[in-house]
Amino acid sequence: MPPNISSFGGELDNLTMLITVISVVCLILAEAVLFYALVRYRKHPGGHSRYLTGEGWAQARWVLLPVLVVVALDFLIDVQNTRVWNDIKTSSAPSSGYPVRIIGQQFAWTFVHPGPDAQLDTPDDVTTVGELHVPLMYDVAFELQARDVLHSFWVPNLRLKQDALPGRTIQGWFRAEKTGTYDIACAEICGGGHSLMGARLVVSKKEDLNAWLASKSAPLGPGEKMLDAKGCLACHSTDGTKRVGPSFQGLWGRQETVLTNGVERQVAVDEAYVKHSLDDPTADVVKGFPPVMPSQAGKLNDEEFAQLIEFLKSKEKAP
Amino acid sequence: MIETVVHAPEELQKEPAHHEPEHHPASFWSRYVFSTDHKMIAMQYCVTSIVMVIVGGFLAYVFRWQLAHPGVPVPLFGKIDPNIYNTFVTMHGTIMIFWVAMPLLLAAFGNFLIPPMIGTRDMAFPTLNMLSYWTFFISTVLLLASFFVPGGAFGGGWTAYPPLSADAYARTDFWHGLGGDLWILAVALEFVAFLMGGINFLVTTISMRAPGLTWMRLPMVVWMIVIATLIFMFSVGPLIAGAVMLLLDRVAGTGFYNPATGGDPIMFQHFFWFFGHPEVYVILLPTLGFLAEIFTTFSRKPLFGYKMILTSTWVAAGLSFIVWAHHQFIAGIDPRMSTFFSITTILISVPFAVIIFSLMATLFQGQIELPTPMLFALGVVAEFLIGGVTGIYLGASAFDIYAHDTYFVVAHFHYTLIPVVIFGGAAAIYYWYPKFVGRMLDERLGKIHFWGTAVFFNMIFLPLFWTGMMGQHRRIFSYEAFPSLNTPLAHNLQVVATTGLILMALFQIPFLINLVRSARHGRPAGRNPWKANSLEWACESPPPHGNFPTQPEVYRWPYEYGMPDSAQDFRPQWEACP
Amino acid sequence: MTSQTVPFDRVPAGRLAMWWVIASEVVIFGGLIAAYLLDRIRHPEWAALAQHTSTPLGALNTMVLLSSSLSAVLAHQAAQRHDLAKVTRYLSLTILGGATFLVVKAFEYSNEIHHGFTPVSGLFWSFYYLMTGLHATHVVIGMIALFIVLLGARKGLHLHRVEMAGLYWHFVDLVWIFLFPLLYVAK
Repeated sequence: MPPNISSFGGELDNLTMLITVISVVCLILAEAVLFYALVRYRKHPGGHSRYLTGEGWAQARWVLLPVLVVVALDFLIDVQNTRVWNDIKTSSAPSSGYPVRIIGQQFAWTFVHPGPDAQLDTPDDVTTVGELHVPLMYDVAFELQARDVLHSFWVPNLRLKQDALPGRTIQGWFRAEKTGTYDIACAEICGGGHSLMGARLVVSKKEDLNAWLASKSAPLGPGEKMLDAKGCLACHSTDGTKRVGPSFQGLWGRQETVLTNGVERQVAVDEAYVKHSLDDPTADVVKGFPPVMPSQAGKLNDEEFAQLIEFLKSKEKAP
Repeated sequence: MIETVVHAPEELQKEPAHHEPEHHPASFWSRYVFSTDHKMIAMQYCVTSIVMVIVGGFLAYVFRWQLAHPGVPVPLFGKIDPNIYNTFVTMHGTIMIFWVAMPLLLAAFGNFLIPPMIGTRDMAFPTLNMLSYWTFFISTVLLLASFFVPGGAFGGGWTAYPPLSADAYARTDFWHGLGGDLWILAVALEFVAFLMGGINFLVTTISMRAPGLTWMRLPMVVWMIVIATLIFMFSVGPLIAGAVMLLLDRVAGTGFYNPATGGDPIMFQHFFWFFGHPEVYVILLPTLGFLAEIFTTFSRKPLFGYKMILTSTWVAAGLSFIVWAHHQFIAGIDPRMSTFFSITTILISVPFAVIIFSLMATLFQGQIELPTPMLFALGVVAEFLIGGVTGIYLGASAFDIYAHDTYFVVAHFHYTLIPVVIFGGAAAIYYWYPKFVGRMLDERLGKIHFWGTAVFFNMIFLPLFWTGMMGQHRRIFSYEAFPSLNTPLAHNLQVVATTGLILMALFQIPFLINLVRSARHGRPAGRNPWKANSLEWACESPPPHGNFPTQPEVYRWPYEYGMPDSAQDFRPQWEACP
Repeated sequence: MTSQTVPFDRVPAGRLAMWWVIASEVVIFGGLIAAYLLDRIRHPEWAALAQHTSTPLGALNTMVLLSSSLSAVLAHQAAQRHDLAKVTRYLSLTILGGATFLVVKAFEYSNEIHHGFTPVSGLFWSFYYLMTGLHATHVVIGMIALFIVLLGARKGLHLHRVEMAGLYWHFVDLVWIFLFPLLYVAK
């Protein structure tokens, strides 16, 4: 297992160790018994097998006593497991921790950090895509949501995995005890871009985190706000960064090389192309990007579409 | 051993007229295609499932190649993209469970074995039996056709969790095609086919047993198939309802699983796993039955603990209905519910421990021979122990937080399913082939087949436990987006696994050759080549239409081997004198 | 081993098979009803929607189905007495009951659709149409089965089938007894 960085991961690793010791010993014993029987009781000329039906305690105990041992070990594991599970899931969930919101969508993770006021849904919130920043040694209380289909928030180093469901907010917590950058993945199949749904967890000291937050808080314009709400910005950056899809910056009016049914051709990015690509994103796929965008047909009304075109025009030139 | 034989009422001896062997020469169609003979129907199920295992295996080869050599075109297939990858992963699971495991273990061997083992001429409803196969055949055609419709086959995982699978509102547009609808239809039709088959299994066993064949004299394999049929019937109903709701969500625009209209996507997971876990035992029980027959025959000893095994099976069948949510520990269900399901899950290991230990105890102080069927049967136990032990890991809900949907899970359930389906199926085929074809399979090819399969099977899945422990999650086209999971070690393990798969596939070729060649050139088997006790060995090999020339009578249980008072080490069920 | 020997009794294969069919159908409807109940608990506001279903018509249909079940029982008794005329009459009455049920149901559907409640106008209505629709399909299947049995029974053939068809018809009736309070009455 990769190094553990969470407060409860140690317990989970100990449980894993316990199960491993018990089950490996049992497995080796059982296989040994099996192979012993094969070697010891091979057919030999003139041999006669014993008529044993397993009726009555005298015979049945040869099966039932080992089974009793199995039951005892099962209960040992059960007791340990219930304790660890309750520690992680129920008893110690903090009422007030550092709040973050984690939103899964096809095919990216969006993270909402509280600004300096340490509260979500205030104007100083900082929204990022593909990067979750949390403070070291703080209980992080997360709200997990999904925009479209099931996703699963999976951080191997935290020993944390939780499904995200559309239409529901799932509360949970973790506490990172080591600074560094770790992988976040989606562990529930969510579509063609499932394997692109990576992100980073950045654990840093509270002071460093505050400095980072301060550098990030820039309010969004109206067009950008709409695109953010629709989830577009999770895959399409506005600053030229390459994500799952092409960046919006410098897109308008550009000659793009696209693949149409596997054939390369040149297309100018204009209103018609944008409209077509919203309705049928996999028809003309920009070269170098995977054909995974879900259709947005009917998701933008005329006004919102006009806002999008306006926004793309404003991003035509690099700042 | 003292038993009273109670004779059946007179009417049992009188068979209905349509059971009489036909005296006019049957045409090709009525003999091989629309046959109502249980043996021909079993053969049809068997052949279909062997064809499907080749399809499913090829899919596995394609996506495993991608995992080992990302981006390199697959030999014999070509380039693969993430959508094809998802499709193949989904269809591999669907095919292997529903079109290989169930038709081979339950349908084919249920049909082969039940009538001759209980001493009757055919199933209670032969026409229904034929209908069952042809419904199954149509579902197979639908499933295969879905590969060729626009948009391709279904790719939302074999568990088909909505909203992804109910794309009317999720707009995952590359699967909006017919593929998903065909998938649901095919699976639903297949369930209907097995429900029809199940009627026969149950009714035939309850009402058509030979005189003297009491419940406690029934061969264990018949018990197991009947219990599996019952489990299947009681668990599949909700999923059929759930599948109809999913189909309506897709084609009619209803919102049963749509959170936006108040629906609940988790509901489908409950439907699926309420069926899905009992389904595991539907597949497992027939193989445990095969083991009981094969172990006793080749160790020349009675079955150890017949009643213990039977009681445990009923207990396990009951428990299997209250463990389903262990597939959903991290799906957002109430944590207290998880504690309950974690305990039931770990408890279910107890009856299976009883069964496996009893089977192992059957070997002790026996006279063990090791022909191919026995090798495969022993392989089931040896490998299944690994699958069972790793199940304890996953039943522990806290560890499952880490392991859920990783390769650890993949390796675990392959360590249960491959021993049960591939090893168990092979053991049964090697054991009963002489009966139903009339000729022995070649032992040398059989042993090559066994050792190749056993060695390379471990080569595939042992590395995957490791990559799962490292955190690699399943259904991932490429790990490029996750640097810490994309290590050289993990990649090398994936290469080992893929190489193992290719080699294991190659070692199935001797088996196929053996099946075809021995049908013509094998040594004639005679009635009872293994010197076994149960009733099917009283028939000619292969049994004629109607199986028995006269109604056989049963005088004892089928495990009378190695009696202390006799020079002969077995005493068949049908022989009157002690 | 000392296995106790049970008397060897033979259950009629046909009846056994019919019970099996009914048991598999019970779990299908059971799953559906369980899903409906779970969603119903989460949505108390469905009580208002259930107002729009017509309780009087539903009650009428309940009566119709119950009486048709009664005539199925009478047909079975007549079959045991080998009274072919009565078998024919009671089976026809049962089929007539099914037909009446369907006509009333069709009238309800058209009325509801007329008021804008279609299968896609909300989860409650999806459930309503799915559950009653599936039930109506079973009514149709039952009527066809009864009709086939009737054709034979008129000439005195396959009289044991009257009991099987009757069993199935009682099951269809029973499902409705569950659906009626769930979809019409519980408000």
